Amino acid sequence: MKQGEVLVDVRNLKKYFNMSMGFVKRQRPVLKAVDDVSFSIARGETLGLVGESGCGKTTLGRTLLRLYEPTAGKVFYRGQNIFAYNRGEMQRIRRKMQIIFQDPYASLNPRMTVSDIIGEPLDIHGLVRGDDRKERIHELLRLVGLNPEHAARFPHEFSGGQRQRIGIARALAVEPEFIICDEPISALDVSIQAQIVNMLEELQDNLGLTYLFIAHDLAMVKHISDRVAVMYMGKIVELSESRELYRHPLHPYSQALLSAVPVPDPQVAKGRQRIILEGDAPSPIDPPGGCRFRARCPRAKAVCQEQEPTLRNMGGGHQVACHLV
Amino acid sequence: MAALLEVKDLKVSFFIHAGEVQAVRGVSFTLDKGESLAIVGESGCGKSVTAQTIMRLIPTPPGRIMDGSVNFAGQDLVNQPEKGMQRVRGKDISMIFQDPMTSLNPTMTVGNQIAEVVRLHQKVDAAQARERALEMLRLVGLPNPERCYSQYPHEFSGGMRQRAIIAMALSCEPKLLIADEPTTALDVTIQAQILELMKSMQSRLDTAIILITHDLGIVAGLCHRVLVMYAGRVVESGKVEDIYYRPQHPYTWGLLKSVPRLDAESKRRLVPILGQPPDLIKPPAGCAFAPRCNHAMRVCLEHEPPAFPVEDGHQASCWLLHPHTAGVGAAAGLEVIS
Amino acid sequence: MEISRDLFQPIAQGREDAEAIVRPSTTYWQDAWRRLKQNKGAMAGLVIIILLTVMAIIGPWISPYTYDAQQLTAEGTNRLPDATHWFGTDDLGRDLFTRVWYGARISLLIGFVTALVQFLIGVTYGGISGYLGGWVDEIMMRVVEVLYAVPFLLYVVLLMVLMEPGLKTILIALGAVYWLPIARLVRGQVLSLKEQEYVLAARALGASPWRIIFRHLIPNSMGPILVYTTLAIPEAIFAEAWLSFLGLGVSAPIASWGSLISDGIASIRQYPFQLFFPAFFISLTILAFNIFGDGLRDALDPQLRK
Repeated sequence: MKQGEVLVDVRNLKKYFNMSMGFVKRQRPVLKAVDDVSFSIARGETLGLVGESGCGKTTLGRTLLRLYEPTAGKVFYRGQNIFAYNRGEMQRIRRKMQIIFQDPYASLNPRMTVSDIIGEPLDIHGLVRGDDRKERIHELLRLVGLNPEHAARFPHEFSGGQRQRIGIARALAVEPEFIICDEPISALDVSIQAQIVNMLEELQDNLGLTYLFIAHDLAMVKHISDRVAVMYMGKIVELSESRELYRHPLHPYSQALLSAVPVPDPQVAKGRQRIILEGDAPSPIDPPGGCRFRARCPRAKAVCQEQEPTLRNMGGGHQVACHLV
Repeated sequence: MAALLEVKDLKVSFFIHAGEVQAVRGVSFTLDKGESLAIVGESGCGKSVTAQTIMRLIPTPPGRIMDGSVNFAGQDLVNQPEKGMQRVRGKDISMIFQDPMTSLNPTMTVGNQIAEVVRLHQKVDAAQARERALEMLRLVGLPNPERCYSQYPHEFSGGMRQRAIIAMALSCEPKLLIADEPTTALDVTIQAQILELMKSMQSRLDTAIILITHDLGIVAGLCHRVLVMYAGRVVESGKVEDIYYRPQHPYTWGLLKSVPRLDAESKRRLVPILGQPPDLIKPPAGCAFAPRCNHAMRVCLEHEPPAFPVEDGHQASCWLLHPHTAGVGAAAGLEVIS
Repeated sequence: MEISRDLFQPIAQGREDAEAIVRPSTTYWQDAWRRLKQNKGAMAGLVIIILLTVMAIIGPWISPYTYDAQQLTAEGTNRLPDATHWFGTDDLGRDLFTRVWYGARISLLIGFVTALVQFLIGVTYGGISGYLGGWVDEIMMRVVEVLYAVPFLLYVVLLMVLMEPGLKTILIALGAVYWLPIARLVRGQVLSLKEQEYVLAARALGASPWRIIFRHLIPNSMGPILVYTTLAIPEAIFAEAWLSFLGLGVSAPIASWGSLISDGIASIRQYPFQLFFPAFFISLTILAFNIFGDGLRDALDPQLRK
């Protein structure tokens, strides 16, 4: 963990969804998308958040920005609990915290031109007007490597990678300090992924940004992150400095995840022993007690059924939630 | 031995309001029985269109096969009437798609869907078809096949659905399975399961596989040969080791260098391929990759490079392999591997 | 092919070309218009609608008679169509050509105004209900259901009793009923669009609900809304026609197609042309709007968008 000021501090965050099942069933099942998650991010750091689909990583990101109202918990931004903010305070903090979305096709309004899309945050916060506004939009387009001449075009005229850069320019328009990157590259081709990742890294260096980088591509997360948190069914099961996690994964789930990543090298790929997990993740609706991973865990013991493991510090900031470590 | 599949100089265009999009611009390759071939390239490079053309699944109009031939086990598939194609599809050639959520009929049980395919192509009665479907469900490793048989697709998770789709695709023991991004929509742990399954099914049934993907990672462990496509053409082809250890085309270098390695010890900057692929409504003269290529020469902008043989079964379409440039390409290629 | 050695010189590349977009820029509406133009039926419908509208405006002018001038003489009443009275005259000797086009004004006015009213109320109501969701949505949708439950005829009769019968009352009655389905349609659209990432992005940027509804949600629901509105015009014209037919519509001497048909029915055996002309034009209008609306639906369908 980089030494320095803690920018974002998440304490016991929970986000449950009530599943409505019609009138007959009075008892509503609860989907525990994010269940008691705590972590912190230092200024200038990139925290990676990995997990499979449905593990709650996207919900976590959106709840941090109060795009979803949290069920419980606190999020401190520079020491202030933003969950206690009123509308006006929230409006101001939105200039500091931004988000980049996964789907470059769904994240841009198809009826607006690029210039309107990037100009919207400027209008909402009344940042610049008139000629300055146009100049600022062009500046932002150049910042993400797009041609300002294309400002009057519509999103569908751009390729996936270009659209993702429009989304980045929109987020940068308010000059944020903290950006949640919600799977910004998983919908893109590999050659374009590297463009976006490099751009995010350059922007971080030049503008001093702090990232929460959500992804399911472990190789990319390892590449970009200083620290990585592994999520499984709404819980963080392991959190550690990035290289340490990849060298010595402690949680059986992290181990399986890492071994499942394909390696672009025929000899290594053929000689490698994979830990193939059985089955799929169980439903996060009314999850079973004990360790949530136990049904798929190759090493599950009796204690895993009885007690829910909590994150324990294994030294050097390496935390893991497993009874067997 | 004659090849199972021979595609020769295939050209496919789509005619849309803005003009003719030349999606496939002269693709040739062969595939032997039981062999597995990967077609790699970014979206829009024509890899899926090539596969759909083999199956004759491109929508016409706007699509049209402009030129070329597809020869499958002695049959010409390009001029095959639709009736004849229906006998080939599902029986001799099967296809699995990227999205396991939309590839199954939501109103039929999984088992019945498989049994229906079996009855369509084989002269068996309902009981035998059911037996076969159950056997396939067992073969693809679905727990409790009897129960799965009578379940509906929505009761399955993504991984289970893709298994069921593979079971359906292989139920008539096709000679060729075309898998179009079969694991892109799946999580890594499920992806590993499905790749493992495809590998074991291939060795058991001796099915030839065409795997279409943009991820060089999953190719390395599964395929024998690789075809790298760019802007509707094959830019490099060869054995999997050739492509990974002795790549010759700058585009292949770019693909290899732009993905981070999990086993890399130190952090290095990724080397992306700059720019975007060309719009095939107006393909550039010369080499289509030249505008994004770090090694472009004047010739690249003017003349389309022919396929230069590198070694047995390995060839690349790049002017760097021309005798006039001896040495330049080799030096640049060495840098990639290190 | 022999290629000269000097072509094998490395060149410095301008990277900009690789980001260039070669296709000409087209907007959603340009695209839709292009598709609509290719649809012959829809274009025929549009031409008919335009011609009818033009005739409704100039028709009463080009005839030397006024819509209410009576000619109570033996040769003046119930005349067959001829060179002076192109569509003949009615039992009070009024020129039917003038009355048909005057009626077209009233019918088309009712159609367009009702469509506009239902569009404005329905889009706002449905947009707010769908976007805010929760208990606000529950209450707003229950109100819609209650209004739905009141039989249309009962409600028109009630309004007629309370207000004086006439054009204004009909417009109010139709406007008050016809926004209900469009409100539901818009609500459904908004519900499906509001989880889209561009809406989340706007919320993350601090956009107000008002801005999100009118800048993001409504513009993206515009396709189905327009189709629905187009198809609601003939429906309103038809509704007015049968209200007039029942005697609840515009009162004499003002004519609408409905009241003309109602008058024509009375003398169908002796003078069928008095029924034929208004009936023909109302059918033509409804047909034209329906064909055009269908074509519009195909043109705006994002599924066909390439």
